[in-house]
Amino acid sequence: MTEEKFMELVNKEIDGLNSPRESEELKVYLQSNAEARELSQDLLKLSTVLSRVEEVDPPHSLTSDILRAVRTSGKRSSSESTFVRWIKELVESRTTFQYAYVFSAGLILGIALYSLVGVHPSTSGVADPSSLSGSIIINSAAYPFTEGPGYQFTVEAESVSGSIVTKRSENLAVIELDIQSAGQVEVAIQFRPETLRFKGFSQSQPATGSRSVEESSFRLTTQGNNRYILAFERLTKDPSEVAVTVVRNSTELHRQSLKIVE
Amino acid sequence: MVDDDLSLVQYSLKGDQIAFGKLVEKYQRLVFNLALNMSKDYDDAADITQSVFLKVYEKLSTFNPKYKFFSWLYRIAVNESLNLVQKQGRTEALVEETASDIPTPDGAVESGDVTQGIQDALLELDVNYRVVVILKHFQDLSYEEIALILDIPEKLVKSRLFTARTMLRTICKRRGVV
Repeated sequence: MTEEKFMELVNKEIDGLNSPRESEELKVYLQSNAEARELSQDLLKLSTVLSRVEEVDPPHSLTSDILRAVRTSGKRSSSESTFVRWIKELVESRTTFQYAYVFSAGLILGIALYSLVGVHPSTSGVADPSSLSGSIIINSAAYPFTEGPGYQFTVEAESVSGSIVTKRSENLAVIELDIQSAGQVEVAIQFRPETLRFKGFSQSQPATGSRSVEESSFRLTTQGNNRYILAFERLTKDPSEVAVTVVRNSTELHRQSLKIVE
Repeated sequence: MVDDDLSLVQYSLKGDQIAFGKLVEKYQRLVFNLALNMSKDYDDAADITQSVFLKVYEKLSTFNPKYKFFSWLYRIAVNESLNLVQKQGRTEALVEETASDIPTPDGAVESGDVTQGIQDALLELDVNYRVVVILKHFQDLSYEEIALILDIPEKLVKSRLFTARTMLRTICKRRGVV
């Protein structure tokens, strides 16, 4: 019997996989080979000992610990990946005009956009950001923004209300828009492309409404409560004018002119 | 909800945490014991188990339903265990640590200490041999399943298993376990 055949038959004998004919073949061989017989017996004995090894109970809290870790990990990974992606787009989109929209409830803008210092002007264009999603964590303390005047509006007859806040840093302008609307409205944020370049946005209810970006405007539809944060690269130190309009069924419900100045 | 693995995977992929919880409940003990036999450290085994399921959750969309879920899970579990063991150099450290405790054949290990004795003996095996013993004897997997999990030919599984058993026999004899 070859060594390979012996190995195979011993393995299978230990594992209870030998046919009666194979067991007999092994038995005959072992009768004529004392060394092989001793090895085979020892391995069978070892297998018996191994079968007596008891399973150990894992910690009682293991399942809940795992599920908690999974939940935490899910949140963290989605926010981190999108954060990284968004920052990357903001900082590295030097030749293409890219957008990302991100969502996060209760976030306060103050993002690491000071790094935009190195961003080169890019060719303008139109993109559909609807396929992009994610969330973002913003450290407001780390990156100082100067807050401009805030505006509030209410159109009681149409059950629409909201607030607008502008913030700016040396290279960035931010518009925070909170809006509550019983029915669907269209919001347009218009800006002058000579002074501002749209770089990205977030919204607290990512699945709602549509969005579109053009060279001089950002348009969205929304219903219910939603919060949007739009980031623009400032192309000049001159005052930047922005108009926010809220429209329903082609009727302008509210128009707010903003000026982002030093 | 259907509780077969594939259904649970599909529900999990749709964000159903209860379904994923069922997968965790079903397999956490097996993964934990695999990790424990590989590392021999209770806390490490719990950490490995957690890490395995996190990885499973993250990579769930890459699972190919053509294969059995548990084979895929075991593969991740084995890799996580090997990573930790190799990172910590635990094998060498523990062999040195326990060398003076090796009993003479006369002082055979009592039956209640079999688990401990075998686990100590296993740690003297190279991880590539240790893992096939664990998968075969403690997880009761077929040669084919072990081959799939370790991504090696079935023939190599058989060869490693025989060598591992022979080496373990020598170690256990020296330790008085058998």
